Amino acid sequence: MSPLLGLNPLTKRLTLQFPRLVRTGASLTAPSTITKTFIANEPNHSQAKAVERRRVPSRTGLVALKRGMGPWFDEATGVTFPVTILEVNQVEVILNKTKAKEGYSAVQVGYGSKNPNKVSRQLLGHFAKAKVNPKSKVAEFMIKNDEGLLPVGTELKPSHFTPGQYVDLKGVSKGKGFQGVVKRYGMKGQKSSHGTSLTHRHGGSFGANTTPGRVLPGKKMPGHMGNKNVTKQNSLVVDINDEAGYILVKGHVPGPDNSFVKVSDAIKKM
Amino acid sequence: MSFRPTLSKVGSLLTPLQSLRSYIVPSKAKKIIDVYNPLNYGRKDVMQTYKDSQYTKLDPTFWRRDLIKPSERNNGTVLRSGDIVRVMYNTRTIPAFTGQIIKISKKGLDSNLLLRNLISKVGVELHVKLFNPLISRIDVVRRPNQYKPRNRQYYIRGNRLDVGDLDASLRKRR
Repeated sequence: MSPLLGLNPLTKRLTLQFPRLVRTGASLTAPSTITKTFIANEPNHSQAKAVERRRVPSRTGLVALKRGMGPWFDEATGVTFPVTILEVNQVEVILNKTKAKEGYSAVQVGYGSKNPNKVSRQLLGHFAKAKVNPKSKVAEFMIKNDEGLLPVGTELKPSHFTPGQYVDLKGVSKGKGFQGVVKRYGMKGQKSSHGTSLTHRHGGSFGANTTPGRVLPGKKMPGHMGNKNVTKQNSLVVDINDEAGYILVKGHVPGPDNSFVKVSDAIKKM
Repeated sequence: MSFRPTLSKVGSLLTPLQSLRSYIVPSKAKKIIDVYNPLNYGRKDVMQTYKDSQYTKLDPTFWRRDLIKPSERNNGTVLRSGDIVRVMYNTRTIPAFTGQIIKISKKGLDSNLLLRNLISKVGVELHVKLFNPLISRIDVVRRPNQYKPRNRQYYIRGNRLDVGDLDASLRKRR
């Protein structure tokens, strides 16, 4: 009869690994004398794993300037819908970030031109290194891996995108100032009559009594509205024009006219 | 120099005094930074280019623009609220529509008419986009003897000023 029969798997393994140290019978050997083998898993909350998990496009996007809106007519079907005109002007690659050096892959691009007298000497040196003119806006686009990097100085034109594809648009929404809950969150407010006293546009109850004795965090209350980073996903590219330098996207774009918008491939259509 | 650690302790980490953060090299000469020229395209206003391209695509012969804007081509006669017009389409799937104009909205490429008619005793209204490529022509069928002093004539709906059955009245006239 084998001495290993009837033992639990751990004891069986340790017995085979350290036959001298493990005793199957009752003994006075201290557990600390037995060396345990740990299988060290890489934790999921590391920086490298977070970069891998992130849903990003495989190639870079570009910075554009929102110029206004207009109608679009489909010549075949007669369907009409509004489009936003995004200007693309002198968009060039300034810097590449690699996984080896920075820990993630990204392309830094700049938009337009700026008076060099109004640019700090630090940024002037940055532009001079890439051999591009001083830019009015610099933005970074994180990409999947180093394969999507572009040579420094490459110009990105509207033909970077093709009509019919979908893009994600990132902008800063219009600021609305300090607003109440009716405008900010669409709450209903109170009745205008039937005994309502001075609380017509209030948020109603904010919490319970002694238990818990406080207002729970995240309660919707009046405060600053708008002026936030907003992403609009899956916008259709309707038309492009390299000569005139514009992209037409279907529908609205966050932010006021003459504000910068980051345009990149839609992550949900990849 | 008692504060400086000895070489044996720090080894290769030892830095020269000039690279320490607190040490400033007294120098009056400024480094000259290269500034490159922008890619100069000499482009026009993007919004204007977009509008021009749409006008040349949708209205190369100016007939749509001349419906609402006085010019030498139309001798100053434009559509007005109160006119009865017939809208014809390129495709057979959309039938022609006759109606009285009760609103003209002049918004460039987004310009549109609101037409009203009474079809089988039911009031029917239709928004007509002037630059819709499916529209082949817009004809004025009848002009009123006297125009009402408003562009927006919403007040005629459902009272004695309302439009009658325009198709029947036009047939009778013939």
